[in-house]
Parts: sequence; C-alpha cells; structure tokens
Amino acid sequence: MAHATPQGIKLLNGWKRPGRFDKGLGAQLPDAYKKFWREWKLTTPAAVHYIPKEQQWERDEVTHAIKPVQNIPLPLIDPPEAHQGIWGGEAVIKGFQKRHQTKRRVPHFWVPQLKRSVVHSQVLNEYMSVVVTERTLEQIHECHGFDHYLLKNLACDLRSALALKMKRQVLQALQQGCPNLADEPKLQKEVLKEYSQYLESYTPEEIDWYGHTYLEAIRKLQNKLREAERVQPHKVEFRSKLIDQLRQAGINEAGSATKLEKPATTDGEHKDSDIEALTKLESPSASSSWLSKINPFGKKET
Amino acid sequence: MQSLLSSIRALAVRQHPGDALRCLHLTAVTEAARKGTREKARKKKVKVEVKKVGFIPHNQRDNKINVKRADKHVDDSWKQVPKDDVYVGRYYRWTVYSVAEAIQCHRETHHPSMYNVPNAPLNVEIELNMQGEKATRFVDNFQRMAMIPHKFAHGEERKIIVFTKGNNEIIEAREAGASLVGGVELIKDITAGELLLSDYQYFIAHPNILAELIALRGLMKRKFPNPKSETLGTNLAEMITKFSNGISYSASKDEYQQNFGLISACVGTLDMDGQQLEENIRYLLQDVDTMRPKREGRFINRVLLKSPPSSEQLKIDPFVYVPELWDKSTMKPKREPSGKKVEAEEQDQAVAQQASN
Amino acid sequence: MLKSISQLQVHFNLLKSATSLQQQVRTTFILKRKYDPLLHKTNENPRRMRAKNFIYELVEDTQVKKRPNMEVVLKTFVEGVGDKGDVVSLKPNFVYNKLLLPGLAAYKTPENIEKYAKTEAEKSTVQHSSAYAQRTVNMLESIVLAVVMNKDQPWVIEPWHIKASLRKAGFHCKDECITLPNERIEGPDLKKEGKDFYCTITINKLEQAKLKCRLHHWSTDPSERLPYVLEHWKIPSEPLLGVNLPSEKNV
Repeated sequence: MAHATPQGIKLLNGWKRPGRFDKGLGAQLPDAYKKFWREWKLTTPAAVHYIPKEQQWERDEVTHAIKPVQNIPLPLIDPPEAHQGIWGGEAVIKGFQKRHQTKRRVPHFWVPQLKRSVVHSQVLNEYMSVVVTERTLEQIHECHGFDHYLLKNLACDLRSALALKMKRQVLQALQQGCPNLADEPKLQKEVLKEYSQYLESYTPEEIDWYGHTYLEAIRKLQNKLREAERVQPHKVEFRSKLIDQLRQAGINEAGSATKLEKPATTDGEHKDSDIEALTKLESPSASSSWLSKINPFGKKET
Repeated sequence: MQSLLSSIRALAVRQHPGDALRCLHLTAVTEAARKGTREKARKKKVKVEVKKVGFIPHNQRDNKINVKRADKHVDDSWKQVPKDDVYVGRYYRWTVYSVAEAIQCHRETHHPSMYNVPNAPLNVEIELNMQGEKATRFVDNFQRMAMIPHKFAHGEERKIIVFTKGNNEIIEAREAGASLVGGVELIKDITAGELLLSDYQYFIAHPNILAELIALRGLMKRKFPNPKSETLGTNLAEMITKFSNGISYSASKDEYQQNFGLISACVGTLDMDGQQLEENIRYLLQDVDTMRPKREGRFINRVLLKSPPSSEQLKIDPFVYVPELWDKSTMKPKREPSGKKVEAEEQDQAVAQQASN
Repeated sequence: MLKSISQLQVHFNLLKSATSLQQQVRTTFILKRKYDPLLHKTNENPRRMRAKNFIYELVEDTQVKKRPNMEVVLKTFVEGVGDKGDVVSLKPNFVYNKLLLPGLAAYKTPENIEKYAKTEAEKSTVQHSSAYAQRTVNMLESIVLAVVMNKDQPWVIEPWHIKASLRKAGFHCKDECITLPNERIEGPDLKKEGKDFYCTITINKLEQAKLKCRLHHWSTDPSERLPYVLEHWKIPSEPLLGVNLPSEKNV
C-alpha cells in the first residue's frame, strides 16, 4: 500500500491527498504564488461574524470543569457576487435559526447589506464605483485611506478577488514609482514616501503573482510557458538569412544595405511578408513613364 | 331529613316543577354569595349611558383621535449656538435674554416712533412640565395668587371681604384696602341675606373668627378661607395687599398633551422701572415653584416675555431666580427620622406583646 | 502539504489579525453558535461539524445602531462647515461623500492637522469670516424688510429701528452692524409709504449685505390704520426719492 503513495516506504507523516499544487501545472507554480495562496485561503481570517473568546481557558457552565477555549470560526460562503465587489471581510452565512424552543430549526441565510459607493485610490489616482458594505467604509476610515486598507490587511481579511487584484495593482504602481501621478510630481513624492514601507515585505516576483485566483494563475503560468517554448519557424530564419546574404552581395532587388528594417510583424499575420516585399520590388514603380504602361502584347484597337 | 328540607323549601324558594335536585342545594339567594359577586352583578346591571355625540360629517370624524401632534415642549438643544454677530434666527438656538435686555427690546418696538404703545402690558408665558411623581399621573391645574412687591394696574375688579374679630384688626384691614371688613355681625348679615357673597371675589379671615365662619362654608364652597390658599392667616394686612395687588394666574394642562402646562400672566407695564418688573417676575416664578412636584427633572421649562400688540416672544432664563432641578436633600431628612421612629415604635410594641404572651 | 504548514502558522497569523481586531469596528451582524462543537485535540483538525453546530443566534446587528460622528481636518474653506484647518466632527456619510471623496478634507491625524493648519499669511488675509456668513448675506439680500413706523408721531430712521424690524423678521443683529443711508429719512410722510431704501449690514466686520427696506406707516388706533397690503414684498419696488445707497466702506 505504501509503495503506491508519493512518499513511498517513508509513509510516516500520514497519508497526504494530492492537492492543487501537487500535480500538473499547479505543481509548476512558483513559490511566490504558493505564499499568496497560503495567505489567502489557509490562514484564519480575523473574526467578523462572531466574537472570539480572548482567554485560553474557561469553566464549563454546567460542570464547572476547566476546559480550553477553541475558537472555531463560522464557515462563510463567498458567492460570485462577493468577488465582483469589496465586501470587507463579510460573507454569507448559511445556517439555521431556532426561533422557539418547541419549534423545529429553520434554515436561514445571513446576507450582508450591500450598497454601491465610490472609493478613491491615491496611488492609482482613480475613483472607482464598487459594491461595498458599511464595514468596508468603516475599515477604510480606520486605516485612513483605501490604499492603506488594502496594504495593511492580509489577503484572508480582504477575501474578495477584486480587492486582491487592486492590491496587486497598487503594489505594482508603487514599484514603478506611481506612473499615474506623473502630472503632479510633488504629490507623487509624498505618496511614494508614505507607502514605501509596504514594499519592504514583498519581492517583485511576489507582487507579480499576488492577487490572482487559481485559474488566473494557471493561465498566467500557461502563457508564460508557451512564450518560453515559442520558437521561430526555421523557414523564417532561413529566409531572413538568405535576404541578408543577397543584400551583402549587392543585389538591388534585395534592397540596399542601409535599408531600414521593416517593423516586426506577428507570425500569424504575414507569413510570407518577405516574399511579398521582394515581389513588390520587382513590380515597376508608379512614377515610371507612359512607355512602361503600354502593353506591347496587348490587342490593337481597330 | 325530608321534612326539614320541605319546610325550608316552603320558606324560601319558589318551587319549580321537576326541580327536585335544585331544592337540595338551598339556592344562592339564601346563602351569602362570595364576597364581591353581588357587587359585580349589580355593577353589570347599571346602564352605561352612551354619550350622544351628534352627527359628525365624515371628513371630521376620526380627525382628533389619532392625530400625531408635535410635542409642545420645544427642545432646540440639537441646534448650534450662533457665533456670528448677524445670523438667521431659525437655524440657531433661541437667544436667552436677561430680563433687562428683553424689556429693552420690547420698549424699542413699542416706542412712540414705531408702535407708540409705551404703556403696553408685559405678559409672561411660563411653560411647565406637568409630570407628577408617577409617569402616568400629572399635576392638577391650579389657580393661585402671587404676591408682588411693586403693584400695577391689573384692570380686574377685586373686592375683598375680610372676617375678623378685634377692633385693631378691623382697622388694620380697612387701612390695607379691603372693600368690606367685619366680624360676627357681618356673618349674620350674610346669613340673613342682606349682603350677597357673589359681589366679592376674595374672602380673607382671621383664625379667631373661624368658628362662626363655618356657617358660611356652604355658601362660599371653594372660596372658603383656608391656610393652603393663604386666605386664612393672622397677618391680615399682608394678605389683603397680596390679593388686591397680586398676580392671579392659573396653570392649565393642554387637553391633548397632558404633561404640558401653560401659565399666562401680566407682570406689569413697559413704562414701569426695569428693576421692578424683574422683581415682579422673580416673585411670580418663586410662587410657581412652590407648586413643584417632587420628582427629578425640570418643572418650569421655558419662560417667554410677550407684549401686545407685538407678537415677539423673548426667552428668558428663569433658573436665575428659581432652582432648575428638584433638590432631593430637602425632602429626605423629614421622612427618614419619622419613618424610623414609627418602625421603632412598632418593634417595641411587638416585643411587648410577645413578652406579655 | 500546505495545510500542515499553515496550521503551524495559524497561531502566528491569528496573532497578526488579533492586533487589528482590538481596533476593529464591527458593523455587521454578529452570530453565536447555540451548540458548540465538542473539543478537538490540539494539533488535529477541528471536528466535522453537524447541522446542530450550524444553529446560530443573533447577538447583535450593528447596522441598526447609530454610528458616531467622524472627525476630519478641512483642507479649504467649505461653506456651512468651516474654514481651512478646522477640525470638524460630523455624520460619517456626509463626511465621506461630500468632504473626503471630493478632496475637501483629510482624515484627522496629527500630521494632517499640522499640514493643513492656516499659515500666518493666510490668517491675515481673511476671506470668509465664518462658514455661514455668506448664507446670511444671501438671505438678507433676498428679503424686503418691512420697517413699520408710526403714522402720527414724528420720527427719524435710526439703526435701532432697522434692528427691531430685523428681529421681528427673524434676523438677529447688533446696532453697530447697520449702516443707514447718508440722508435723513423723516416722517410720518405718507408719500414715503411703500417706498424702498437700502441699508448695509456688515457681518463679522467683513461680509456686507445690501438690505432692501420698505417703509410702512402704522397707527395705534385701529380705525386710522392703512388698509392691509397682501404680500407687499411682491409689489415692484419704488425707490425713496433722494436716498442713495450708503457708501461701501467697512465700518
């Protein structure tokens, strides 16, 4: 049995079911993304919908025995709508209500009260209309700014994919020196000074991989791998070499040696663009005399 | 057994045919019913007279029952205090004037160049919180005579009749300005019917003549001299000046808002001295304060000075002359010792009884 | 693989989020489990939860409570609120939507208070004496003040007449703030009935308002009174002859 597991004979630490990062493209994701994933999905977020007990031990009410305090968080549900807005740590709670002692429990969904409001990012110099809750605004006020709110809170506290994407954008803007504030250099300086402290805890690679959902990360990785393995077709390579050799040899049709290079075109659009260019060179130019226009082999008009 | 029953039957009850079982019970009419049952039955029988309201057109019918009325106790503490020297009054708290400033304002509007009524009466409107000691009970409407140091023409006809024995007192009373003074012979005149009591508004008496005065109690009814309304006392001159020159005011509750009471009284005219008017207001407020209920919170809410024909209402601060909140410490010492004494006495009595037993 | 690492880090992370917990403002509904799940061994995963553990009771719904006022520092003069550098405490919605987002105010921190405090130069050039002065000026300029004078007694218009008339109309001011026109307006003169003149009101010794006043004669004796004119302020104005606007120098 143990021989069939990844650990093999060394199956001492228990049976580990392979997760998303253990097979396929997931395994190839960089450590930076795995760190972000840990921060987002695997850390316990701050208590929003319940009050955790601060002390370590407590007495049982009935038996008066001492027992440890184990704050088990409420399981929250993030609907797709939550990832379209910034709900500030709030989520939908699925549970039951016991309305009366003699009545059967009744299923109930506690949904946060949403409203659409505008949020301003100083670093990105933008006003954005988002669906928020009262709690989001309160937290923004507490942190003295939307950017501070995004940068101070962990991914698990921010919860929504949109908030994390915004955080990545803010971090990237700070890394590049606030390009959106290029028109106001004074403000740019102040903003950089204020927010530079947050850049210290992230490496550039981490910022690059921050805030992506798993599928987005896989896509990104896929694109990167495809870019890496993309090879220029041999024919293109041989053709351009040939043209260069002809040019060197001094053949007019190949163009002058000092000719400017054409702007690079993508592979898909003009596969045989070099051939087309050569054929265009063969055809007579527009400013030639009337003699060249007449066709000596054409039909005589009677 | 049967014969006994049959005899009782003959005495007490009408026989119902086929009612043999019931006769055994010796019906409730002969027995005393449980306490209160008969009272209850009697009360039920009393016919409740339905008040005939008459025809109310449909658009006025349910008007006055559930109408939401604004609280007459106006609270503007949420408004700001004005900081500029020129401001629009409706957005800020009412300015609290001193009495002198308020009188000055009224004098400006009543100046010969404007309204030209320099001798206009100065009215005081006092808004009261008529909440009693309990939340649901309210202070009753009262009507009092406030004594003021500086008299003014109130334009009311006040005839005072004074009952007292002793010549000194009679002379004293006459000098003070009573319209009629007398003793036992006056009482005899009234009972005979030569004098009509309805001609006179106020009755003042000295305690020495109280014995004879009781004969007139039925005629005088509410106006009978009693120490609570200060019509019965030894200092006749003072009482007479009070009733002839004082301010007669009445506090009435609003019919829809029971805890709102209003007093409207005239304290003088605008051509009197400012100091005198202030003193009059002070005495009036102190008199109102004596009717204060013994509970927490304010009694006098707001005092406004008005002067017709102007419709201006100028707010003044009454708490310069009168304490704002009821002082608990004035009440407790009276109650506790007496309460303790009573308890101690009871304990002693109980102990004595036990000892004797 | 990641979960085991995360469990070790859970305590560390809990601590991390706990520091922000103490300052957290709870604006949401707070639930409590009716039946707590049984204790689990310390280093193991929590027990599988049954439907019973999902029965919650509402402890508090903070949406219905009143939120306390928010304090901010104003960056510029805002009418009806305050001047530059003022620390203002108002309702949170108004502050966020009308002051913070448009950039008229900033959060209250010691640095911000220092940054937006008025400089000496700005203090000397006072443009607005108070947040509400401009509004008072607008209101004064929009009314036609009825100055009621006596029909029989001789009078000359003085500042306290205007002050008393303003008080009757609901505006409070002082004698020093009123500047009458240079000419004497005497009466009683029925030719002047219903005619207008202007006087200047100076607010906080800075803002000035041009107040339109209309003369009315009133008699103490009701039989001699002039007939009541309905909504006299809507009648087109006729200037009092020979009376010009008072000079606009600050008093």
